[in-house]
Amino acid sequence: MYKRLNMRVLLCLAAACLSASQVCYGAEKLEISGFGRLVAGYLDDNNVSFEGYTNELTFSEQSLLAIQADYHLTDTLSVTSQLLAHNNSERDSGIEWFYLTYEPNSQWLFKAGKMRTPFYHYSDVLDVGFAYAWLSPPQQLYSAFLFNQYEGVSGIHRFSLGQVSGAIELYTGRYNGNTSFQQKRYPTDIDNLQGVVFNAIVGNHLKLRSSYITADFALDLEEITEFANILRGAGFVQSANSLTMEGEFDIYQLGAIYEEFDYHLAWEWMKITSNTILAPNIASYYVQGGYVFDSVTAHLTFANLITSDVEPVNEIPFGVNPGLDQLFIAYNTTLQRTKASDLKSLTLGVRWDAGVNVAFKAEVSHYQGGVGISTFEPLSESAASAFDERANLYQFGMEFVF
Amino acid sequence: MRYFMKLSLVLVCWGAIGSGESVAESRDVVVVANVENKDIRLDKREVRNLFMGNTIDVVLEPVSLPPETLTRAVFNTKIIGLTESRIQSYWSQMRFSGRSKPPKEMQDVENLLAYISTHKGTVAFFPADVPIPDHLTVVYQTRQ
Repeated sequence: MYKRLNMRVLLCLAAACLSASQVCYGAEKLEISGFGRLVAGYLDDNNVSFEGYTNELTFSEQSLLAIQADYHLTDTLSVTSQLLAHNNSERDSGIEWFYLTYEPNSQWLFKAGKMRTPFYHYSDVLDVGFAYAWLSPPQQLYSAFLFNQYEGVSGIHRFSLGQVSGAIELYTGRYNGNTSFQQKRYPTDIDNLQGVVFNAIVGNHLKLRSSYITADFALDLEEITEFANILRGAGFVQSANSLTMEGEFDIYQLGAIYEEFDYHLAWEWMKITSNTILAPNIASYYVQGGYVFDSVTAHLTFANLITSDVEPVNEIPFGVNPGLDQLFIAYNTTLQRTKASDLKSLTLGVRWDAGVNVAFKAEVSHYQGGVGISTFEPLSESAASAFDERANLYQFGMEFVF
Repeated sequence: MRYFMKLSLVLVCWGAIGSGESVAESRDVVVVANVENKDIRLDKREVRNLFMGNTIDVVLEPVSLPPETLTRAVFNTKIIGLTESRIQSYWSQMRFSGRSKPPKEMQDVENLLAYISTHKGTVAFFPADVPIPDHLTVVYQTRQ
């Protein structure tokens, strides 16, 4: 169903891309641009899948095509829409961004509408592979959140202070949609989303980024919610509450990039805290070094994700009667199945910019980590125990913008 | 034998890239603005920030040359400090996140000079040997 829908959107986008150059560039008021990527990946382990990749070569996980239209209503007011066609069945194709921009001068920028959430340095351009060196940005940061869009307003103030040229962004909004993981979609509500992002360029070479986000969230995990209701009916209210994916989260982020003509160094760190047992506290970071030989960039990245231990509620007695024993086992099994796992990775990649708007990439990542909701997913019960918690992901692809 | 042919081809390619860089190194650019105040001077950091969409104390609209021009390669090497591919990568991030857009581009030096001459508040870079009309102001130059 999704694949068929995606294919239709993809065909519409391809037609729009072909006609864009004939129709739109002449009109000053309308700007058409876009991006796309074709990415193939293969995981060398037959026990698990990782980010949708298995030990069969596939192009369907990250390949996409998008077209963006900017229509200038006046000198300071414009409307932007970005339509995206994705080949991944876990994601919806359709309108990714749709917002109104008001830019009264070069210091202030206001946006209102449907936008991508700027959690980390590349979060709002995660689909624009041309914007970064990797094929897959470190999963430890860039897959460890539950949603990637919001509907709301944002304001950016740009400023200059001595050797620092900076921008501060404030945004607020909400999200109502689905969250996908482990091949299932769960209804998700994000309310009271508020965030602040600080970007600075110090001197000629150093970029700094810091952000904070907070929101209320509610995720309907269906079968887990049903089991929580059984526990609540049996009088184990604390245990039932511990299986509820509802509460508040806070995300802290820090990042730095140092760029010279022939090399760059980058570091980014984040921490997620929440007051629910099912959503563990997470701290992640990556460090990257890249060397630039004219149009070729070779890069090496180490990334790490550390999760906090989930503390079960020890409320259900064990060994009293078989019925309670079943509840006890079911409760602990549920906690085990929903837990996250630590993950380390080392990625070696090459990007070759074949032209000003086309790049080819290849990368290999070695991952070490257990089975978990945001890491490795076992392909069967027996595969889970056979998995040695190590796997290599090989990817190659093409990125383009127009 | 085939291996040595491939190796020598790679070496020739690298030699060509190296000489391209050295050509850029040996050239200079001037940064010229159409402003009322003829005393305005910018430093390298300010010019870089202007052409990368960041704010500085002076409000000017940057205008550029196409990516394949030698003058732009000199400007990238000596002022921006990034290769053209990394600059393009940066602008794709800015454009598709709705933060800012790359400078307007003129197809060659003649058109760029004509545009700057007739538009107040604009700034552009030129080869150092291009004659600059008196009503324009040189705000920065790479030669010492």
